[in-house]
Amino acid sequence: MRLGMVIDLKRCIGCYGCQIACKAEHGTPPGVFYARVLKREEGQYPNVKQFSLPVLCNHCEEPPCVDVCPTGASFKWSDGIVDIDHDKCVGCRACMMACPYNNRYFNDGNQNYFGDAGSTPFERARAARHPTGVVMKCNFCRDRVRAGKMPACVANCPTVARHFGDLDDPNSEVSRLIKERGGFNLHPEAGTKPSVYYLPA
Amino acid sequence: MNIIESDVTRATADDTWLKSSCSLCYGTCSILAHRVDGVVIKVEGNPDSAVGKGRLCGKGVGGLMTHYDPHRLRVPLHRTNPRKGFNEDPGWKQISWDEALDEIAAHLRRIRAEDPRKLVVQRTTTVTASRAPSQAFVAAFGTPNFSTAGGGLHCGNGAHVISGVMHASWSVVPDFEYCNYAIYFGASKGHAAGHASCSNMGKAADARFRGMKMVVVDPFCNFAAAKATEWVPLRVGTDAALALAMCNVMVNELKIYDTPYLQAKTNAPYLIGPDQLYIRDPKTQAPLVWDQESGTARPFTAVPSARMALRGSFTVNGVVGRPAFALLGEHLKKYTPERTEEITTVPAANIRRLAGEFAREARVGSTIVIDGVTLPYRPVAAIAFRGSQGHMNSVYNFLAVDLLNQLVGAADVVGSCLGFNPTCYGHPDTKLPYYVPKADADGLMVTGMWMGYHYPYPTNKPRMPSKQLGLQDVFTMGMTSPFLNSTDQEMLWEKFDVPYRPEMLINYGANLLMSIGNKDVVAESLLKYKFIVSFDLFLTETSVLADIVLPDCSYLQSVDSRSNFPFIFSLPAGLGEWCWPIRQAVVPPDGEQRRYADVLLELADRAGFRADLNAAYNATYDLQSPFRLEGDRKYSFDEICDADLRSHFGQERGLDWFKQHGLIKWPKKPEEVYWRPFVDVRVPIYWEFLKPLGEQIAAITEPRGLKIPRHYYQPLPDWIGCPSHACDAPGFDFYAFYYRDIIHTNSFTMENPWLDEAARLDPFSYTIAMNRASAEKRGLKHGALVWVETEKRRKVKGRLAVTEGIHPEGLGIAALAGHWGDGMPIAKGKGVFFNELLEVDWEHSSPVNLNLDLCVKVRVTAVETGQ
Amino acid sequence: MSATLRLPTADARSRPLLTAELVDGTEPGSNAIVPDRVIRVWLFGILSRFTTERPLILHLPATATFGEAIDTLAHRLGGQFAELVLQEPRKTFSHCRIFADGKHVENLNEAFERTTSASNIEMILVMAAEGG
Repeated sequence: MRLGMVIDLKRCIGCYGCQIACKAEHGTPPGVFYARVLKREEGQYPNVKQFSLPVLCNHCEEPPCVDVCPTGASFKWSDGIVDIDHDKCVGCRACMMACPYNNRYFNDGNQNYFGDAGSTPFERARAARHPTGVVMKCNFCRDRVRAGKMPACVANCPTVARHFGDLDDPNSEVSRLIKERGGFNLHPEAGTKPSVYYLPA
Repeated sequence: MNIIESDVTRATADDTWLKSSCSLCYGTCSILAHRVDGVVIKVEGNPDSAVGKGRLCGKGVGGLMTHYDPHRLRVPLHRTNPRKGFNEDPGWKQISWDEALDEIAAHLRRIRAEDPRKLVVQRTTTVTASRAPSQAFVAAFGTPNFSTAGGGLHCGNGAHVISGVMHASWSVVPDFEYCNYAIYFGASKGHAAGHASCSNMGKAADARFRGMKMVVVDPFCNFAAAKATEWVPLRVGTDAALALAMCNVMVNELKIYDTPYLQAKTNAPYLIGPDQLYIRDPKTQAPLVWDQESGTARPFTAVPSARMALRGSFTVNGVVGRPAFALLGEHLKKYTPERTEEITTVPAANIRRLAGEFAREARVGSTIVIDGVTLPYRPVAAIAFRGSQGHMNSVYNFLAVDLLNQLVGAADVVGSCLGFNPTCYGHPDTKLPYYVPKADADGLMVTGMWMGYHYPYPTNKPRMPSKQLGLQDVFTMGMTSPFLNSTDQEMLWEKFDVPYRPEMLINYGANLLMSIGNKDVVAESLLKYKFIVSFDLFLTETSVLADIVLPDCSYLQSVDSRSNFPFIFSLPAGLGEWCWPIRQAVVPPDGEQRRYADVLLELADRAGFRADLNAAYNATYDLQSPFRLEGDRKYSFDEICDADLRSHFGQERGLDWFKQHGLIKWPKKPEEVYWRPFVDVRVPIYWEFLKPLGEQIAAITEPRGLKIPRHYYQPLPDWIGCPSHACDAPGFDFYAFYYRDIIHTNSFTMENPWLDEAARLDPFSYTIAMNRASAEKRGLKHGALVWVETEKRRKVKGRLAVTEGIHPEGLGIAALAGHWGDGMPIAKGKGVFFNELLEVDWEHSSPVNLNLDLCVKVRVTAVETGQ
Repeated sequence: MSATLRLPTADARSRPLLTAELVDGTEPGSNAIVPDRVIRVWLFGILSRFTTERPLILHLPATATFGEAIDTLAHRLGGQFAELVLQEPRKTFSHCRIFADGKHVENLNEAFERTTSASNIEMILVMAAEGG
């Protein structure tokens, strides 16, 4: 089994629903994004295209972050999810240097979104247990997936642009979409074999 | 090992998912709120609901950061500093609710005894749930002065009125299930904010996937244009010209139009005399048509529509009459693609191509069978909204776009431009709500349902003196009026003998200093009030001018029996389900926060008009016996919601039933969704009533020194330039406009730190977009700090975002940003305050529908160091 | 600002409107149809300023229509009342909501329920015009 995600750029409109759904699910601190949306532009006036590109940890089949981790904190589950054991993470940030996608974040201290006004009850309930001095990243909402739910960003997407499933199963929706629509990875030249695929806009 | 205990595995004493409704924008999608130990730890979409279908935009899914904002107001505040102004510290002092309510009730009692019209009530458009309680309160109190603040003024008067006249609905969308070719004019439906926003995002994505071609006419390539198959940049404010040129190509060059539709469903065959009015039957006063079979002019009711002439010239009762359609055809001839290219900058060849594509894709004459019902099939739609209608010429801009639909019969049939649910036969058990458009004596459509009881058509007769401060008694097509805040309001009130002056303002959630126009202009109007009460989540820029500020409850603390009613407003159009969700409180108020609707009831009790308020709720909610509110009994708002629900859905389905189920739904019938062939109404392609209306208005205003420009009141639409098009001052060479951002609603979401964080990372949310070549020509660089300045020396500062995706003459500014107050510290200093550039006066208002012009000609210069 | 109020003032409101004045609106001594329908009129919101009585009692013929009741009311309460309620004779504004015995009155030409001899009319103006 190799869990993976397919993001349909034809459907995506860049509403930030995934980025904020992830914030709501995980209560990540300011500046830490397990999911985020990049915007870019191609072409010249008037033949121009604006693109939204949602990004997250690619859960690479050959994750350089795991290879470089000196403590074994970064590891890969048997289902393909790349994860971090925060009990083992010493915050050296070698994984962040190794990740070709910039999708790992360092939590350098207790932060909350309202600064001096203090943390909210939501943050105390959701975010207080985030350890500091460690690296954080997306783990495909492992707890939700184990409970039979879709990752928060997938379940929430208003345009149904995100799909999640087993890339090893040729009959899964994700495998079918990649095959039928010409799914591609970001920066394939990095050679890490990402488990996040994109469908052309 | 992992980090947080998941909500899905955790089990505690309090671990509940409650079914409710979002309120981060007026779309009001259905939500599930997850409460654990008294804390809302997640908001998700409710997959059981047709409204959002279980999915939320960034604003919706981030709503709990607004709810839990530590800067929320928690106690009632009273100003101690009697001097009001931008630089005056109000000296807020906490007071008890009793003190606050007594003081407010005393003002209400005095004003109601003197003249209730001295009270003005306004509400934000963000919270749809504030509509009915506000309307009931003003009706009960007895004031006609009600306003939907900036959100209403900036999009209400054109888009909604003309959608009402032509589609019996608040707005229009393509039939995403069947449409093959949609052309958008300054609209983002399905690609950002708006009515039924999340549902439409899903439907539009399905349509895109299915292969619907989408052409987006817009000065800026964002949201809808970013997803379009073709982006058509045009000069700001020239949409009507482009649409009329396309109509011209269709009618006069290609000769593609839907004759049977025009004959049966519009006033195209009505005979027009030399006076531009209908030629009427002397006996019945019915408009006449030319019966091609008998060769006579007969009342439209007496001739099968297929026999009605659309072309020609006929002598009737001694005058020459021509079918309205023939006049339209001739009128359109002046919009040649070549002349239109000069106005819009869209190449003539493209105009011809777009018109041809639209006309041919309409498949005039085709039908389709849905659920066993044979229906007309016109898979094209022309859609307009805030962008194209946000000008002085908003009536014609919107009407010209809709003419594209009308010409090919693409109106409320399969695949076409759809109103939002104008026909509803009701729930199978109760047959409620029930509404169907109906015809007036001229055969023209009157909407069956509206957002209030001030219908878009037929228009009321202009009257003097104006009883409304917004002068809607004179300008009867106006809905929300700029004159509540304009620089020239006193002059206008004197001219129109307004027999009183406003003394008290009750504001619900609107941040008026930001939402209407230039802040100094708006402040001047607010300083005239003797007493201002403001219900707010935060202290806003406008609260600084209030006397009492009341701490409001958030959507997660409130109740509403009709989150998505009326269905013409924000229930997704097209096939699917009728769906009536409610809002329920997920968590209690914090501190002394109270719900707006409850406070209004309490005020009516203290000021002695509870019986009136009960009666107003009976009227507003259209409550049926035995659920009508009685006498002056002190119902709670929960009890009123309960009555509303039982009245509509039966004795057994009260508020408790709805709290458990969240909503009630039932399938839509094809003849409800595609109602046009089943309802015998016509819509005006020729606005015959407009010219007499203009004359009646002029008869009132011109003796008082206010000239009515007649070219706005002609029965056939024209492109009329904005004040910005008339500005030729050297150096003022950009048309600045604002647009609704995908991540923000009005001005209040900038305070939500998740949304603010996303907006800071977005290239355009907090910047000023300028075309790359235009920037280079002026030596302006990406990221430069610039002044944007109008000829009237209004100016704002911001960072430049240089892009290929904007018209060379356009200057795009997102949303309603640029807060300066301390009450919303996350929002403070973020983005650009576009509205600061807007004049608010008669000169910048449509003389037809009072729409404020929302584009300005500006000069852009680099900020000198040290400025 | 010294404009004169056009609405009835507190003084006008204190003028007693006798029930007797309102009977069928005909001149005393004329050959009026014997009124045999009692209509209690409840005026709310700004309309309540036109009378101190709530309900206000009208006596009309048994066959009376809603429109005749409104006409009688307008005749008795005066021009300013009519101006607020009627856009033209027999045609009320869309924002004037009239309920007869709890049912919304759609057609002023319809007659009151035949089965009862007493009816209640409730009237209120819901004038608020929406935007956005």
